[in-house]
Amino acid sequence: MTRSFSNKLFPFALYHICTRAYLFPFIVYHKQTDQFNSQSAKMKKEDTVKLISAEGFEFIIDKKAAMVSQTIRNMLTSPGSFAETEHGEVTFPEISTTILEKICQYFYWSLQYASGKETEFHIEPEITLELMMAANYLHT
Amino acid sequence: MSAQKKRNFQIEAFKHRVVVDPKYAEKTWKILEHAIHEIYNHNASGLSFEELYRNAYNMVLHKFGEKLYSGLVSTMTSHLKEIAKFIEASQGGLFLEELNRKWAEHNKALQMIRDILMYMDRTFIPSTHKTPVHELGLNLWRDHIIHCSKIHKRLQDTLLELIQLERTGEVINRGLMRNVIKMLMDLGSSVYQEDFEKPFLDVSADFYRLESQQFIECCDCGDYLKKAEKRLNEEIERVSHYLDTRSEPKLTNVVEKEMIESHMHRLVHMDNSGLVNMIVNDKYEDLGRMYNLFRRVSTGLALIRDVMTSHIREIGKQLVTDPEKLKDPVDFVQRLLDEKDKHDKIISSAFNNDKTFQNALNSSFEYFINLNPRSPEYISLFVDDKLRKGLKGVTEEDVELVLDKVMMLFRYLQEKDVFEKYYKQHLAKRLLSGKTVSDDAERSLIVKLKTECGYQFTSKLEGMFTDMKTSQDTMQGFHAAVGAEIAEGPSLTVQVLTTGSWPTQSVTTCNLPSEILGVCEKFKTYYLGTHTGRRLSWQTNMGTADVKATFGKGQKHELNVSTYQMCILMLFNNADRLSYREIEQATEIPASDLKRCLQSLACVKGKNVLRKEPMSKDIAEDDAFYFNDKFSSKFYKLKIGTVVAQKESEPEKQETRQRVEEDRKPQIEAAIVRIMKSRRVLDHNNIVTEVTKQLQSRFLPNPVVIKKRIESLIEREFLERDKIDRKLYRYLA
Repeated sequence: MTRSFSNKLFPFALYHICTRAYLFPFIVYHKQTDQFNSQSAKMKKEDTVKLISAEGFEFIIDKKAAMVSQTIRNMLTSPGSFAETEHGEVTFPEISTTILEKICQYFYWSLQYASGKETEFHIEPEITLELMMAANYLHT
Repeated sequence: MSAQKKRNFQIEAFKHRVVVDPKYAEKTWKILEHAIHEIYNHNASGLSFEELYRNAYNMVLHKFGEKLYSGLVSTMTSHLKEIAKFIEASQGGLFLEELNRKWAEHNKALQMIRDILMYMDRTFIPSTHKTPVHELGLNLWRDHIIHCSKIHKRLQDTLLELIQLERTGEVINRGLMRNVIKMLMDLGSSVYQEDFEKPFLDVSADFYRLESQQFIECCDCGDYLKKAEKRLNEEIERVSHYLDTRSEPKLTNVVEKEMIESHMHRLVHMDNSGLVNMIVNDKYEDLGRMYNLFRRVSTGLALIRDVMTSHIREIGKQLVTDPEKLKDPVDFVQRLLDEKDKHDKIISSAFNNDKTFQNALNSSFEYFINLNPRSPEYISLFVDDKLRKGLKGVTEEDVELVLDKVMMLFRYLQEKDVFEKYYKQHLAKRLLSGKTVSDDAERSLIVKLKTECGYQFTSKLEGMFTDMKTSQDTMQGFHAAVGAEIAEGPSLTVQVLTTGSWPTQSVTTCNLPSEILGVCEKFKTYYLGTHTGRRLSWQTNMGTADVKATFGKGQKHELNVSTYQMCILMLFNNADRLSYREIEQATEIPASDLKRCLQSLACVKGKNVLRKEPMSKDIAEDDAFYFNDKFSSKFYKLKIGTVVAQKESEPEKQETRQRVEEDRKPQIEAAIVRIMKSRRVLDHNNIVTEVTKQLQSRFLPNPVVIKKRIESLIEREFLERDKIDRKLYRYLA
């Protein structure tokens, strides 16, 4: 699995914690990262959500970003307390790590795009189909 | 295909990890069904949203949407049936609360179900044109709970009963009401309207019909209106608290109809407390309330207006036709003004300054002021009185105020030319006797008349002012020129008046005493010397004189008298006793004036410089007059007024009227000619309407008179009748 975030479109902090196979977390550094790091230290559990891929990789991202997906939004805001809402983590047994990572990137990119920064989102052709299926599932 | 070559990857058929086994759908549905049960049992915390969503997602994806949907419907239906039983079983007062609680629960469950079945909502339902989950849930609730035979009626009755309780003054749980009614609204506007609003409006109508009947039997108009207003506000408040805002107009409509519209006439005409009574007693608050309430009903204001109009006309008619009140013209006009003020105040403070009411008021005044043909004269007399003495010591603004009010009355007059005639006479008297209090006030009134009726109307009045001014200059010139010659004799002040500008009165010269005659002649030669080609005639009936007299005990008095009186007094320089006939012969004063003069000289107590034989109030033709030696007064200066008939006497009135009629003739003719000149051909009726329109700013011409004028114009060959159509007139250029 590659973890070079060559994409320079990442203004938000993205934690990618690998729990099983590779046990070193990494942080993407950009201009604003320091600021985001200091923010991330304060980040409360309520503001984040943990997304777990089929292989068991955990992605902790802002709730705000996760809610770009209509499905995740419903999941987290549904009036009844489902297991996901209680624990703040969602497992996707049908989404692979690669795709979920791309999806997380997309969430942040989408927020940024919505706030007025019109940039391109690069998608590698190999993962297009899987990504589209996941998008359909997540209603993104 | 070239496009295919460029692709460096291939699309492969997607392989689902789940094997499609025939039991798959059954198994997955079981999971979901279980979840729905759990949700309804408030046991959702153990469920994984993702799992349920994924299951529903896969079911739809594997074409089991139909099964999922029908399963949902039947599961939900069975739950709702249970809930219905539960609600039915609830006891009395808890019924609504139970219903409300279950509704809230159902709503929450419904939302959760919708969320987990979102994929179906998103893809399967639109493509098969089924009802979305949320709406489905509401419909099922409506069909199984609200329209459940045992609940439907009970719900309606409970709601209506609670509202009834609140109307009779009890406190009810408004929050609960709001929630339940909100539920009905959420189920669709038709549910709210059919199952609640309609019966509610019917019940309200019944309630208010009954209540208004009770109120009207036992309350007077003011109290009734207070109650009606209170009720109306209560209902509006009710709507804001727990009903649909769209119900407000319907509900207020019901109250308006039952409380106001059906009792409107009775309220307005109520004895001792109806509209007329309110107006008479200046009950602004009640009137305002009535206005605001009746305004809500389509014919309400018209009714108030009509009643008010007829009331004003009634009192106005009494005012202008009551001979008692006509005795004093000033008082009469003051009453009119008071009446106008009173109603103006009512309209401004209670009727929201409604234009239609103002118009109604104006037309009423116009109606009754013109009922009395002497109104123009009286208004002029009122002005005369104000300008003579009434405005002394009053600030300029107040003067303006009074004048504005007079102008307002003037506007109501139809016969403005009659007013002009009288005004001219009164103004002439004021100017000649120097009685005007304020020149500014006079001029301000003229300006007002000018703006109201145009230049034509006031040109002569302005001419009178100019004459006064030039006369002053002439007198200065006269005294400068011949002052030395006449210093010995009596001093003379002459006002040269232009014929035409001033009210003409038949010239009845009297014989002036020789002393005066000399000075007059001098003035005449002086004046004609500077202005050639003019004719002077003396208007002895308009002048005044100051006479110094010495009485028996040697006391001296200065008497301010009219020219006629002066002539009479001068006669007594040479005689102590003169008979009526002798005086008449010597002075040639017209009999009526002479009698008036003698009366004021001999019969007024304290000012009787002459003595009359026999002593009686009236002057007879064989009376004899003596110089009153014993006359005494504590004042040095004495003003001997003529006994003036302030109001015109009957024959004078006739005369003025006749003069007015005469003056109208050329005006009507001029109007006819003006119209015909532009129209060339016109039929009779149109001429009459046009003429009336042109002249109505001055007076209302009588159609008969117009006809006569047309005939006269035909005679003089200004017009001719059309040879074919005899109704048409042609203008002959």
